[in-house]
Amino acid sequence: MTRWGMAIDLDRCTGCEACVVACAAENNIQTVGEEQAREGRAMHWLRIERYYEGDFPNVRTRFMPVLCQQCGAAPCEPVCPVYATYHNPEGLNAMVYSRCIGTRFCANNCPYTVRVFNWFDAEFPAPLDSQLNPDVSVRPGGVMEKCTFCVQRIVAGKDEAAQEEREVADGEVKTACQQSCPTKAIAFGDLEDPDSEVSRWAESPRAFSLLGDLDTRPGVVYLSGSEWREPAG
Amino acid sequence: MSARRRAARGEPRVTIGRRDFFKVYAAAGVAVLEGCRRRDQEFIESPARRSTALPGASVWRRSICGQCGAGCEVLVRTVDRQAKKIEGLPDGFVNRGGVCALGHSALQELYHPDRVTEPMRRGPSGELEAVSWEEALEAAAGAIAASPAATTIVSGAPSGPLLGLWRRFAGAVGAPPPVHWQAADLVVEREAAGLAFGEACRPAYDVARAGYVLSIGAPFLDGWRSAVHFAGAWAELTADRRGKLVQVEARHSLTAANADEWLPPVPGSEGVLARGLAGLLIGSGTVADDARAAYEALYPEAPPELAATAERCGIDTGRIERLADELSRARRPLVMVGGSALEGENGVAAGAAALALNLLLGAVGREGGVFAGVDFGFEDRLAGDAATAISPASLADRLAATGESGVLVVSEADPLHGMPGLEAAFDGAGTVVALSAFLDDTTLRADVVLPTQTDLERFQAVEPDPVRGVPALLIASPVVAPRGEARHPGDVVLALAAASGAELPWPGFQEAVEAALSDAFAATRADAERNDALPESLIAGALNARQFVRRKTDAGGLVGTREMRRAPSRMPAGTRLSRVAGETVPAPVVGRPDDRPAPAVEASGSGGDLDEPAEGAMRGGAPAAEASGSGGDGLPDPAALPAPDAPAGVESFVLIPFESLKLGDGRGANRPWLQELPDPLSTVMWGSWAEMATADADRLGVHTGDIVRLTGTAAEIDLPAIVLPTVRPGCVGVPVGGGHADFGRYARGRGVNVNALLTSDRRVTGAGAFARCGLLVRVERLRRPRRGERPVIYGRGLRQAEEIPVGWASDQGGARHALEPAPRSGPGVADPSEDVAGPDGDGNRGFARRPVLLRRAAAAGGTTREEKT
Repeated sequence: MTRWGMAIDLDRCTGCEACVVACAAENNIQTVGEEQAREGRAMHWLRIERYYEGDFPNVRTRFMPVLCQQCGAAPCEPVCPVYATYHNPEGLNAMVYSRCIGTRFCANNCPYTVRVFNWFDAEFPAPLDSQLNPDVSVRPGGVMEKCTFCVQRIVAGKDEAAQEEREVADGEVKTACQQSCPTKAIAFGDLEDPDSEVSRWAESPRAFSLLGDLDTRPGVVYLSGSEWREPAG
Repeated sequence: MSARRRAARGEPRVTIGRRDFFKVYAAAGVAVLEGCRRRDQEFIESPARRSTALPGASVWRRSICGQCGAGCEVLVRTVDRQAKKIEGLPDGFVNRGGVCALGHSALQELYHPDRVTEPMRRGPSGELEAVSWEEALEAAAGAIAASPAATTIVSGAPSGPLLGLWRRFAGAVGAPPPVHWQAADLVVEREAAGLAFGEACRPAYDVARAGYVLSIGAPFLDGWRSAVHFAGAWAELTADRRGKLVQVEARHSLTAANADEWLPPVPGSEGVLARGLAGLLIGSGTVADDARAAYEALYPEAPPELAATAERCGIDTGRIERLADELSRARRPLVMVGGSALEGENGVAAGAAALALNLLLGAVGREGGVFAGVDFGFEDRLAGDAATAISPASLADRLAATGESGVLVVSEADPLHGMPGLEAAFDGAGTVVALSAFLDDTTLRADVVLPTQTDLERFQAVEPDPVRGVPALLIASPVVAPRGEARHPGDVVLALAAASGAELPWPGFQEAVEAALSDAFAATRADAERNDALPESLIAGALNARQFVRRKTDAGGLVGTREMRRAPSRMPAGTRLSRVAGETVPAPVVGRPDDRPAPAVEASGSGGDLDEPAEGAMRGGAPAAEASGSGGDGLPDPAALPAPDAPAGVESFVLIPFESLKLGDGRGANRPWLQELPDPLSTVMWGSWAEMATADADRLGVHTGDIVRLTGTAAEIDLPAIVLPTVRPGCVGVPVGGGHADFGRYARGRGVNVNALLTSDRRVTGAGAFARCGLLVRVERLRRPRRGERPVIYGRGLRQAEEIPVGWASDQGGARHALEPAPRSGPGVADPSEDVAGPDGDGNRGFARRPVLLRRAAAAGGTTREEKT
């Protein structure tokens, strides 16, 4: 059985946010406008956290892309009264948009604050709607949404493999964020496959889980931790 | 990508013709063109309209991103002839599969609801009214033909075939050479390279193979020249912590954020730092004799002493000494210069001093060093013998000279927004003709508007910014049909020429490119044995000129050398393509022949009185700016800083305008994706802001979100302040690109245009370019933000370092992912209750409210980073 997972090398992430826009383009994420954004209602499924260490002039800046961690023990799932969010057999926290009644309990329970709520119906003034990805539904108002690990790409990859009567190869399915990353800081694949790139990254001594002590068993692994070493001699 | 996989993605089934095509192409050593799915004939006739893809099926077409000059090769997913998604071509010459935020947003430029899609002309009522192409062209061409000598052409393409066509047009109608629209620091960069290396070129930096990069102001991860290329190169530089990046600039850019070390000098003192470092390097005894001779031929005067350097730059002597020590001992050190270091009035001198460090370090033309960026030369092929384009700095003077009788033709540029001091000139201008896809600030003032196609709608022939150091030409067919009546700007040039009675020899832009490509092919073939820039498909001799041109124009592709497909994001090995190392430098630097052109730089305050201090009033304890002049026949010592021009006794700050990653120079302001994208550092969405240092903000009583007023010599602007620990005290950073008069619903009235503070008479000495940095402005706090004024900050409540919550300190050895449950308690796990922060708790997406894991490491007395290594 596949367990989809992602590894993000923070030592390679420049914080350029190409992934954020790639995600919006792939997943029909609406922009809410200045007023709604001011109210904290921007809809990004993926965000770049920025942290400063130290004070001027010895400041270091850290970036961390944060998206749905696709938890193995997801706090968002058991609180949904209508089973709109559920755990799929391949480890994804999936959403059934048509079931969602907008209680927002899931967002309240998510320790990573990665779920976003459609306060209004999405607006894509024509012909901006020409860009919409036909593989991804546009969510109506009153519905919760979040990162899906580009499940439409996973489905397409599995379909293709099935047609050829083989397994999905490692690296065959790429998420939109992974694909656009100029520094190749993101790996995606099957965590159950010990030879997959994401598994190898996850075994790195630099790897850690976000808020790991919460035991949410995230499907996203971060790598960080080495400093520049002056060359010998 | 397998054939089945392509098919599964909805692309048409492959025909025999395609297989044959693959064989030929493979033999020729050319990368397979992803966009070439159709039989040639179909493709040539109308690639955008003759798709035979099934409804709903995906077709991936190859294209070139034209959002900046970098020339990233992209694949565009189209469904039902509509563009859906842009992705990087995996073996893209510049981008190696990456795409930046601006590149993705080209889709929103294409499908923008407020695009101009039909020609317009200002009617009797004073409003722009839709007219036919014939009428619009007649009006524009009539104005040009009436006073060709008073016609000013501004080309948004800073180089390449389109500029070549404009040059040809100007020559044909008898107009002065066109103005190329280009970022000021890039104009200065050429001049600085000319002084340091003897050749005015765009340096190409081999960051990927360098071992130690000292970047003096070059914001190469922020969108400068090619963000995607440099991001890939940076990743290679820092892979396994092999190399180090040190960023020198007063305002902490995204590049500084990713640097291993950030040094914030007094703005304008970057050149002094470079000279001081040179002195330390020479004194260290590690510099080769010939390198020292080459440097001292450029700078016969002794470099400033360490103490003087430290005082002028406002940086500790210890840090400067350590920097010099690391540079002298590093393997393959490299010095880059750009951005704010070049944008002050002493930019050329500072740039030359910085680039000249490469001579001392032996970095010129060697692996991991600096090369000459070589153009493909296609611009000249189309331009013929027409005069070369001139710098945008001359625009204001030229408009003033021509006055009401003048004609201004602006092609895909917005000088009115991007350059200060043009308002009056525009008011006095005669006829304004704009080729544009949007009603930007310039187009709003136009008398005739000629709608242009966006990148994905047009046939493209692009000479990319020579960041890779090798000449290249990128070609792509249209991806989708053009919207409305929009036309290719190159076709408009040719139509204007025809309407003006100055026929050019081609019916359209594509034909012009094909003709020039055929000529290039023939010339290259005749020169096959010697020419390094041999098109790769010629090497195998598999194609004749006609086949070659057809392949390239059918489905897009790359024309250049074999090397460009190798060595991801790296320069070609050796110095073969480096005119700098191979030819030019030894003559002027070592020999200093008499015919070497005199340095074009005159440091302000020149006159030979070195080290004579001038009055200066930098805030924050920074020392006074010092002016010094050119000493004899050497390059000017780059110590000259502008005298303060603000009245004494006011709180004056050094203004540092910068291009944010999301809006660039303003071209991204009309895309909702980019407006709603949090700036990576300030996290501000939808608007402009002023970055202030924590110490300054404390003194002025400014808090993040407060409205501050910046008063310059020309105007004043009000905008929200963002208080950050990453700005040098005494400086204020403001992003450019906001404050459009129109430019569509997403840009209209958003933010402020910082150029309003500036005046066009502040020029970079020796380059003529407009000096954007270094103006002294007054900063005062106005008020708490009113309703609707509060900046849209994505990460409200962002915390300082000790609260990084994410487990940098994990000592579990490997990830604790889904297969390996994390311990609920134990050593290394903090009490979740001890760090429940979150002062506001309203919509805070940061982790401030969340349990923090880092305390253990801090309590243990070490940093987490140390523990990990």
